[in-house]
Parts: sequence; C-alpha cells; structure tokens
Amino acid sequence: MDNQLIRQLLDDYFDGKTSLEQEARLKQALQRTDLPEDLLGYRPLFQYLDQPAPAQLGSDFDARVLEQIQPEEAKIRHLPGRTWMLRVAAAVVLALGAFWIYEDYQPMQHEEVAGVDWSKYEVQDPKQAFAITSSALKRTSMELNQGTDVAAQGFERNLREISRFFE
Amino acid sequence: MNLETFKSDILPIKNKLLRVALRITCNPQEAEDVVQETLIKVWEQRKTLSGVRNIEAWCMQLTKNRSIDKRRLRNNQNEGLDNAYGLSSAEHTPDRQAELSDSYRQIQQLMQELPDNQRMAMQLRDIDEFTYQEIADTLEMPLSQVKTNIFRARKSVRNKLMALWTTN
Repeated sequence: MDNQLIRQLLDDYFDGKTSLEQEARLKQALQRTDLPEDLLGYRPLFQYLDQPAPAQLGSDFDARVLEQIQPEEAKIRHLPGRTWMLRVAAAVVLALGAFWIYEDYQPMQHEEVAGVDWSKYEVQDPKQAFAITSSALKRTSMELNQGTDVAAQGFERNLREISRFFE
Repeated sequence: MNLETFKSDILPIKNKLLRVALRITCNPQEAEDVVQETLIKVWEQRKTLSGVRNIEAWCMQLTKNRSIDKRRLRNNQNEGLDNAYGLSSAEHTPDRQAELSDSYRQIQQLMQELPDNQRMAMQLRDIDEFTYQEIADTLEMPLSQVKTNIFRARKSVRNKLMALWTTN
C-alpha cells in the first residue's frame, strides 16, 4: 500500500468512515518500518490496537461449566473410556447369555421330536380321519362362537369330498 | 432451551464474551470467572428466555454488567494488562519489550483518559474487531451512538498524540 493511500485511509479512519477490512489493512500498513515521518507517529497507536487475541477458552472451560449446570451429564461425559469398555462388556455378556440360552434350549426340542414315533399315530382309515377332524373342528367352532351346526356342516361337506379320494 | 441447544448455541460464544469481560476487568482470571458466571446464569434462566430475541446480545450485556460489578469491587485500572495482551511474549527481545511497554503505556494512558463509553466502543471496534451492531448490543446503546462514540474517541486520541509529538 503506498503512502498516499495510507494517509487517505488514516483520514477516513479518524472520521469514522472505514470498514473492518480497511482498518485491518491500515493496521498492517502502519507496522512497516519505512514509513515517512508524518506517518511514523501513528505507529504506536496501531501497534497498541493490533494486540494479539487473548488466550481462548477451550474444552476444559466447557467441562467446568457443564459440571456446574448438569453434574450427572458432566460425569458421564468425563468417563468416555470407561463407558466404552462397559458397553463392550455388556454386549459380550448379552451375546454369551443369548448363546447359552439357545444351546440350552435346542437339544431339548430335538430330543422331544426325535423321541416320538409319529407313524404310530397316523390315521389309516379315512372314515376315522373324517370323524376326528370333524370333532376337532366342531370344538373349534364352539370356541369361536360361530355355531357348531354351521361350521360342522360346512366342513362335513368339504371333508366328504376329500374322503372320496380314499375310496 | 435444552442441554444440546446450550452446547451448540451458547457455549461457542464464550470467547467473544471473554473479550468483553477482559476489556472491562483488565484481568484474565476475573474475566474468565465472569464468563463462567454468565453462562451458568443463562442456563439457570433458560426457561424465561423465550422472550429474548437476540440471546447473544443478551449474554454480552450480562457479561458487561457483571464485569463492571467485578471491577468496581476490585477498583483496579492497570493490573494484569501486560499479561492479558501478550506483552511479555517470548518472541520479543528485552529491548523490544521495553519499547513496546513504553508505547503501550503511553497509548494506554491516552485511552484511559477517554470517557468509559468512548473507550469501550473504540476498543471493541479497533482491538476486538466487533461490528457496530455487536458493539451496540453489548453496550446497550443505539447504533448511531456507537458511531458517534468511536468518532469522538479516535479524534480525541489523535489530538492527544499530536500534542505529544509537539511536546517531544
């Protein structure tokens, strides 16, 4: 920035007409050591105004504030490492427990199924099959409250047709 | 306002509040205490903030008022200023630090002689680079008054500088 421009900006600055950007450029320009005499006198002022920013408040400060307003939340946030490990441990325990329950349950099912010879209970006689089925359906109909006669009649019709295949 | 809103909207303005507090207390530790107290008060009053249009501006005002109270209690004009503004930075040689100290003290004296509102407005603008609106919100004055204060402060400093050159 040439000296004439610096002088113009300086006048605008003292008249309150400069933007933040112009003021920043003026601060920078007046740090030069090769300024003419009439501008050198303003250097101390703009050095004073060009102060470094104070130390920033960081995450430690946030933690202190959060601890004041929500002590329980702050404690949880302060133990990220431990909660991570707890979560993993809980997941492992749940998985092991589920696996153990599954293994414990499965053999019983297989044993019950393997131990029964269902062939002994197969109904060979179609008429017997019809009678058993009709009886079961009548009971079902009664419990569904739809009328035994209507349900039985309907199913008897259908079963009569099916039983023709056995004849 | 819930905790998540507080963390996302209020906590991030802490450094802006720190600048305001530092500008008034001139003491880094006190300024930090003021900011902490301000944020805690915001949380305590969160249920009544629905009527506040600009919460950031409200926080600035709260910070300003608390800082003024702290300063009145302590009544300290210059203590801690060097540390606050990095005057003792290791980057400077001892001679440079001495030179800077003299310059700083000279300009600091000129600034201290300004009326409070003019000094605050000029420092918030020229050092902390606040916009005129942010200054208006913080100092609770109209925009036109901010500009007038800054104009008068700068003119006064210029006249005093020229008087110093004449004397020297």
